[in-house]
Amino acid sequence: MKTQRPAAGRRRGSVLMITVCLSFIIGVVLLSCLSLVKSQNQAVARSQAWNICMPVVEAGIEEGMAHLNNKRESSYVANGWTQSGTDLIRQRNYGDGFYTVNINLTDPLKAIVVCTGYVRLPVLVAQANHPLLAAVNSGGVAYVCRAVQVVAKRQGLFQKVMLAKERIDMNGNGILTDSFDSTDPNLSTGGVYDPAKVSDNGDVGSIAGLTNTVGVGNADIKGRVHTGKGGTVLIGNQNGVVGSLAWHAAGKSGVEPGWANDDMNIWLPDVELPFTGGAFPPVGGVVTSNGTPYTYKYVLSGGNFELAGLDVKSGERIAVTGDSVLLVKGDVTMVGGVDILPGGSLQMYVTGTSATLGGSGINNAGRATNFVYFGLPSNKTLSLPSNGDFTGVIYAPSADLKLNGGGSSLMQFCGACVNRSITIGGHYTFHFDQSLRGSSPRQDYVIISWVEL
Amino acid sequence: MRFCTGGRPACAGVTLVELMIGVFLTALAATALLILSASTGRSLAEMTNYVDLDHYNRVALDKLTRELRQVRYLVSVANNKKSVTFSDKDGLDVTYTYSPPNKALLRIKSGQTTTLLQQCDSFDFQFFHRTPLSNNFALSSTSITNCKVVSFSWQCSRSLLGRKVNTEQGQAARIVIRNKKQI
Repeated sequence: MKTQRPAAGRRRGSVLMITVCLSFIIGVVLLSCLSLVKSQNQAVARSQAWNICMPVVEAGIEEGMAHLNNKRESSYVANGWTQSGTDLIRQRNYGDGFYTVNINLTDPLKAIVVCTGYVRLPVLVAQANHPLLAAVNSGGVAYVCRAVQVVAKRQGLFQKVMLAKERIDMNGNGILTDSFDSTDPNLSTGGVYDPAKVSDNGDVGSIAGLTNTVGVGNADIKGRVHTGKGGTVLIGNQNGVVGSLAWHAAGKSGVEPGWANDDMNIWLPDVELPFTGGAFPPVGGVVTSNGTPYTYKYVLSGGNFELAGLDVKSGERIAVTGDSVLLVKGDVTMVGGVDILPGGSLQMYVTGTSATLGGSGINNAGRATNFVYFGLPSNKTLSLPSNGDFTGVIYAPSADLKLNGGGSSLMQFCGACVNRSITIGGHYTFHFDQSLRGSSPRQDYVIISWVEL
Repeated sequence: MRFCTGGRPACAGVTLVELMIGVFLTALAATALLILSASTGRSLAEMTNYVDLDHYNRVALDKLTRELRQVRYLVSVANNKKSVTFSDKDGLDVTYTYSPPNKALLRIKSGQTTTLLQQCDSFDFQFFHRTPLSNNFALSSTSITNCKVVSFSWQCSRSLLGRKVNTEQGQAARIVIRNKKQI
């Protein structure tokens, strides 16, 4: 037997070929792996930048909203904001990126805020130049950008007939809530409440989440009841009804399904002083009406007035003949009354601990916004032991409101109230003027829609 | 029999023992190469599989978060919580349905069905209330009407040669519905 070794040159060639093949295979595999890892890394990096963009955009929207609601500045052109026509514009660097905010105020009650956020793309992605990793270029830097448009509206302070931070107790008899619209002839007559033209927007709300947050008792609520999370509505063994007009018309009792909800979550801002100087003390006078002269303790003919305290005794009255603002830096005791005469309106700001609007109360033949009561944070109690109807609105979020009086007759409360708590002991029927939602004193801008562009 | 002498390479040969050792070593090297190739190939396939899985998961997550953020409100939830319907930003209903038999998450709007996820082993929705509880940062579960926050999570997997090799468990998000308003 003879076996021959191959020539040395041929052996070396085979080894070389095998080595080359192996290296090629390993190289291809390695390249594929690296390529996969790279593309995944790029996709993850871009996704992260894309998601980071949302907080940047919302930071811009927050700044825009803060600017709109900033009462400290007398002009919108402040704090780095510029104005172009009806647009306000601001750009701010934010981390590695920036955002631009544009506020359109063509309608001053309805601002359109558009914010575009830019986040710098990681170099890994920026250099990839891949169509699926699209970027915008600004100043030679690649960014990923997203834009959001929000619409912010200044709604009226009064959206419900009764709103409280804490409990609402309806202890009286014959209590009723419904709504009308003083600007709609189908829901009012001559701008005044008409029992034949009512709607079921007499909503009652409390932001408290307590057991029995709203004690309906035997009241007829022609509207919805809202409470904070976990808050409940107490009907008890009494014949209280909460629901639509149809629910009431059908003679049903209890809460109509879907008309009580524990989703209430709003912020009630404190009242601030209307002015810090330049007001005058009001003086008395004679006002002639239909040829008959009447003597008033104070005549508020328009402008700003200030008193250290207000004490209107029985037989005394206040006349309001112009658009007036009265700041009372003390308690209010009213046994007489206030006459809001044609062409007059009164905004009363009270800093005193307690206020009592009794006697014949507020005689306001016009719309509810003609009498606005503002209780500052130091105003803790407000009583309405009146024997007359009340047409006006009350915003005193730190004050407990007590409604008594009326004897056996029903009294009408046309307007709305916002208080710390509300206790009703008298015979009141509450009629919410729906026009208050749009025409009452405005609250801050609130976002009503949010859309990513 | 004739033996070649070492001084004559042309006549040089190997013994049977040398040959057997050579064959054995070659077989060993070939086997190692084969195992290495198979292993490398499988790893590459698994990695490709995972990259693909990760890509689809991320795209689905980004798409879902973007859409849910701007819906108007939650309309309905199926009893098994596998199908939810929202009122979309344009007022039309959009439904997200998880189909366990098909292991797919579907988006249905205006009669058009889009597959968001495939080979999805499980999918869960959770719904939370808007209002915070006092002294507590936790969100509380809610009824459909009051749903302000939507949370979802899923698990996907991929198989290779009939064996489950990749899973993705970390896909979860909690989205605040921006347009949900108080009723």
